[in-house]
Amino acid sequence: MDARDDRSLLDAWAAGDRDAGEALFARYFEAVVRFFQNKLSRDHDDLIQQTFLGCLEGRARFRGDGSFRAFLFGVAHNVLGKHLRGRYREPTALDLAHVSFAELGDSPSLLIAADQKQLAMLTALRRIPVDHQVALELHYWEGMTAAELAEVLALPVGTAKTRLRRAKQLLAAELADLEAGLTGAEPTATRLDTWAAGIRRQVDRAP
Amino acid sequence: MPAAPDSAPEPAVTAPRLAPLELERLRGAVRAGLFATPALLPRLGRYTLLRCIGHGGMGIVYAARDEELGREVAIKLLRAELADDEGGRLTREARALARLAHPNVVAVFDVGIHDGQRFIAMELVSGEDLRRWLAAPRPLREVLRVFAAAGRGLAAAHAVGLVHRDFKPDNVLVGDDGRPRVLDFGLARPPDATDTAAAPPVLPRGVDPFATTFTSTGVLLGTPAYMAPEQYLGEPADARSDQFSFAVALYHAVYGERPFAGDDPQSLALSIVRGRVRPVTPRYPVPPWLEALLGQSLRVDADGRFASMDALVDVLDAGLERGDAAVLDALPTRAFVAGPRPTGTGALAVFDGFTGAVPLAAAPSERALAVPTSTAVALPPEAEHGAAITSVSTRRSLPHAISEAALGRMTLELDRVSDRRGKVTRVGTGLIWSTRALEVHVDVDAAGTRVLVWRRLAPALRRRRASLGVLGLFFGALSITLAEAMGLLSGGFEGPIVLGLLGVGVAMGIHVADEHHERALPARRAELEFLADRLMQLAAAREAPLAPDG
Repeated sequence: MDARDDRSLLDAWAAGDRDAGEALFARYFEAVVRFFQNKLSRDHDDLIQQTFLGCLEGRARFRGDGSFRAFLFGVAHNVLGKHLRGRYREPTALDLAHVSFAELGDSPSLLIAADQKQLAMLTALRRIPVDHQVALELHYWEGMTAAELAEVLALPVGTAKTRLRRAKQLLAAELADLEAGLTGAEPTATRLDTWAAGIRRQVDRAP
Repeated sequence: MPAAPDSAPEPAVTAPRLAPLELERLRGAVRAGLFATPALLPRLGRYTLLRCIGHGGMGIVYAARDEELGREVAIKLLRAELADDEGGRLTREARALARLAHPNVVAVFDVGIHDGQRFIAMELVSGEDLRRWLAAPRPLREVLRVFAAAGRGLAAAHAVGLVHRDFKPDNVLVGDDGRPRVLDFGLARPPDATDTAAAPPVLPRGVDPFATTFTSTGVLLGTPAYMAPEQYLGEPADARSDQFSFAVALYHAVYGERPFAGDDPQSLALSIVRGRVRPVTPRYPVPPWLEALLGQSLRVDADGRFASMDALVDVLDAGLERGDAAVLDALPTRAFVAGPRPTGTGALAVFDGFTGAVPLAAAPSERALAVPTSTAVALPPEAEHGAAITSVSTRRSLPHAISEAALGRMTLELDRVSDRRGKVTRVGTGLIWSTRALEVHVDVDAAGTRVLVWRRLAPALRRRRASLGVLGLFFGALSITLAEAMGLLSGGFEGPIVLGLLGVGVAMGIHVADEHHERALPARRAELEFLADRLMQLAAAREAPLAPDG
């Protein structure tokens, strides 16, 4: 593993040092895959590649006062937004602060859920607006602070904090709904079940 | 909403795992793109994965090279939850499938396990799936030929004891050679059929009605829009369930609309289990034999369907053979909007004797044909679904029977106000006149004449998804069907029907009426009352000549 820091690797890669590029790629590849996996069902190859190339091309904007990681996910976030807008007929009407992937109609991801709880979490994440999903996933999975999120999402820190808090509320609501669905039994359901079963037996006996 | 949102969930701190093989393939592909290195293609046993050609509910599909035989194959890598194969049932089924050679079934070469994920190696078909194929305008003959061939594929699998359990257009590949092939037989565990107390499956809220649905333990439930009633009831699916799913797909292809209304699994379940095929005005004259075929294969009662897929396809073939060339060849099934009025009356006559004569919710006119005695039914004055009123109705009666001429006048008037969009179904001495939103039942017998005018408001509400997440509740609604049947069996006893409606109220009660809807109600009622009065004037008028626009 190359011991150089992210900034030096990026500069070296830009100067033609392929090994530096490969080292940087190896460091962040999985995180970038994770970024796209719970959002889109296809085109991952392209989007991941665009993200890394975007870092290379836009490195002038990375001044080194923030983390490379925040810069990288900022690029990934832009790549995602551009991709989504390119896919929909009315790009300007697509408001990622209000629409979720569940509503955009993308099919399920290929992440492997460890258990039912995690599966519910992944599903719930896909049901909250895209911008909120991005914030929460980066916060939970990549351990990003509100300050880093502000950088990724190009928002003031205060707004990023609000976004995160709101995202948690939305997620909690979705999870509660899922929970109700997955565990099934509403009291009324049980009663009607019994009743229906009774009638059914009678019907079966009828000529 | 929880009381303390800030303390709300922090359980997903650990990121989910990525499918290892896909991760490896992605790494190779992106690396090759970024650094101009030769791509290192991942291996899966004797297969080298070349490229990803699709993602679906079941897993990822790759184009791969079989290094031993030097041919290209498709590899379907199933989702991890689908790896569990207790008792080896899936392996047995895959082997049965591998032995099955039929031109209309995707050939399976090999099955195996890689890193805990099951995979299937199969014929690589160049073409498109039937859903996409159907999106282009096609003559009816071409559509029927493709369905007949796919049906033969299903029949061949049935013949070796395989049941598909998830037949839908997405699971049929139409090759560039025009030959359709059915795929994805028995890839997942069916609900436990040995459980005698079979319970309806629980579909989480918000499930996509067009996506293959599994339980969290990887048990295949099916695709809500195509599932047969018995699958909704948690009963074991058999070849006749495949026939039902096949008919749903065929109906959609022929009529351009799905047979069962509902955009969410709950309302779909209601429509399907109660056999409520919605009235569709075909955009061209659908041959009567095809209507009858669809009617039979969409029956709620599996015993009433065709004995086998072969029997169904025989009818399809025979119809193709002797069918009216003008109908079969000239008319595209889609994009055909304005056209000749449909031939014949009631599009789909008899769906199910069981739910027979109770025009309750969706498709009264067709329903009532099953028992052509009377249209006098226990329609509620107003079907209130919780807060939202989904239909308004009004009744009128005359103490005497009215003449055919009076019926004719009423029909004429209805046609006039509806711009001739209505459909007339004769029922005994009365009739049912219907459009998608409006229905008029005229029941005539010695005791008098009763008129019911009924308008559905449901389409306006349809966008609101049922927020009840429990399909279990739907069982309550099933009970309505049963109650109806009981009501019929005991000679028109209305009690169960009313109870049943309460059931509907519970099941659908979460539809929240929006304010706009509420505001529009009085106006809708007034229109209806006006129409009813007008009809009664026409009905009561003595046999004097009448100017239609009077």
